[in-house]
Amino acid sequence: MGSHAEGGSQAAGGGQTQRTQYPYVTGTSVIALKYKDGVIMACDTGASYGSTLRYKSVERIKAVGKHSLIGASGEFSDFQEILRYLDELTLSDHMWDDGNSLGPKEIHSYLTRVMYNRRNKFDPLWNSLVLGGVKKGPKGDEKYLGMVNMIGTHFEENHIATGFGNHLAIPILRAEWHEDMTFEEAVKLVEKCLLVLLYRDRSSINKFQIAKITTEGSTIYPPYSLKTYWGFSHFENPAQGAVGSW
Amino acid sequence: MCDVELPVSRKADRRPNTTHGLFFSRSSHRLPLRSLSRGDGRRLCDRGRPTPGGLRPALRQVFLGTFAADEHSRGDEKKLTMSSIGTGYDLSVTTFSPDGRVFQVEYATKAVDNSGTVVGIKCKDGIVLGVEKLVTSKMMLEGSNRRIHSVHRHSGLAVAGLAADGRQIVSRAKSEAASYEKVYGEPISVKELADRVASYVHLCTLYWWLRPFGCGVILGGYDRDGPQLYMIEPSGVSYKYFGAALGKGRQAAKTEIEKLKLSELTCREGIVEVAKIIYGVHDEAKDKAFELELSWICDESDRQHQKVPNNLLEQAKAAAQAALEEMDAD
Repeated sequence: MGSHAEGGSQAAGGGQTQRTQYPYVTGTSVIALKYKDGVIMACDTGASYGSTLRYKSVERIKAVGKHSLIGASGEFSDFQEILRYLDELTLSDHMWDDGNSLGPKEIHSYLTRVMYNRRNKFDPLWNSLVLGGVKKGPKGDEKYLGMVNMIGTHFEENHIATGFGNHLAIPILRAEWHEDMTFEEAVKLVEKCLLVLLYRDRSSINKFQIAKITTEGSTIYPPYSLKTYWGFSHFENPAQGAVGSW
Repeated sequence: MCDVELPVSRKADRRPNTTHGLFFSRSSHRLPLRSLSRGDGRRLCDRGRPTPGGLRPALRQVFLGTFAADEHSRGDEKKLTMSSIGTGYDLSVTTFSPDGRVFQVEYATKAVDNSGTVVGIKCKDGIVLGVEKLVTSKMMLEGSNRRIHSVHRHSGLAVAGLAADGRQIVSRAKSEAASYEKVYGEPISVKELADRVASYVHLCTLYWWLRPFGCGVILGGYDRDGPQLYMIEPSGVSYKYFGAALGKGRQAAKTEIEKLKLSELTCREGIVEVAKIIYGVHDEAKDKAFELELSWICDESDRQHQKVPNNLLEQAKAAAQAALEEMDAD
């Protein structure tokens, strides 16, 4: 993700031209993990325009229906379009009024189809989507957490991270995640990953949102900031010892 | 007389057929034969069945007209209840009668009049829709064959008449609402939705290859301008109402609605009133079993269209039963 786009040139047949896609306004990593009561998901509220941190109050995690949360990194306009598709899907589901509703696994499957089919048309939706939720199944309340990216790769896991999170957060999650964490433990772990990303990912900002989904429903908490420490001696006089021409 | 086969040529169809004067009624030779024929001697009414000369259908009008059953007989849809005889002007929806009526649309309205009662009222904080769903078989599962459908989050449609036709209208309404929101980013206003549904219903009264919808719908919704109630008839007219009824018991229902002080009624009280009306107009003798379907859109339901919650539904039914018994006791 974030690599230069290629492909999407003139189509082989049909005479339809397809556009080369580059992402313009992008969101950075999303982190999610399963805990005792459900799934917790977190990301920052920034969207960059290239290297500019242009938008600072963007909600990249949304609730879908009664049972799921979706978080996205990548092109924000494509995320908005995906939200519109999901809205149509949940509305027609709601109007059936037969007591059934789409669960996270079903929505993940639907999104996988959408992403993969778009990729095959060389017109991808430039996102990495994280889908988490809880729904009653044959074995009781079943937690679900999965990811699908712009080329249609999809999988299910106990903890997910997209973008830079793949490199910086996944090692931490692999080391410290365990089954049936409490909400407080889960938040602590998530904040640890977010802090690392804040320090090391140049497109992240210090304004985060955490969301959780349980059998009672979804909650997206208001944005807040993490405390950072910059008092390292090397930062105090960064130019000292640097070789310069004047 | 019916068996006389008269040779029909293409030329003959273009001229008023005066040689058949004996068999046609006086007015029918003024039929615009050109428009009714396909130019090859077959009449419109002979779809798929080439009746020589197209004589029979017209004859049927004249002779069976005299056997017309009682105009107000309910439930006799199978017999040709032609109280006002079309006499050849009722064969196609694209034909006006000499007195300016389109009979096919009127016949469609008869289909609506023969169905179970549908009632809609506008209370001060929302809309209540109720349907007397006649249960034709004891084997039917309760809650199946819904007659009230959600068309969007904020509106619902109750259907009277041919159920399958109604489903088509509901489907169209849903797609209109979805496409409006897709284009304009806002939920469709109830007035706009009613206009679109009415246009669609009217559309099917304009072409000879389509038949009019045999159902009327009551559309209730809650948008920025508050709760609104519209009724769309098979002719395609749509009016805004504060109380509307369709189906068998509509006259009695309308009388009952007029007695209510709708501007002071809340939806909670409204559902009890609607239940009472429907239980009241239900004809125990003619139709045995029925199921009451109630839905509402009000501040209490968060301005969303939904089935009335079970506990309130049971309360309303109980109150309606009690009111009925009180009436019977008198």
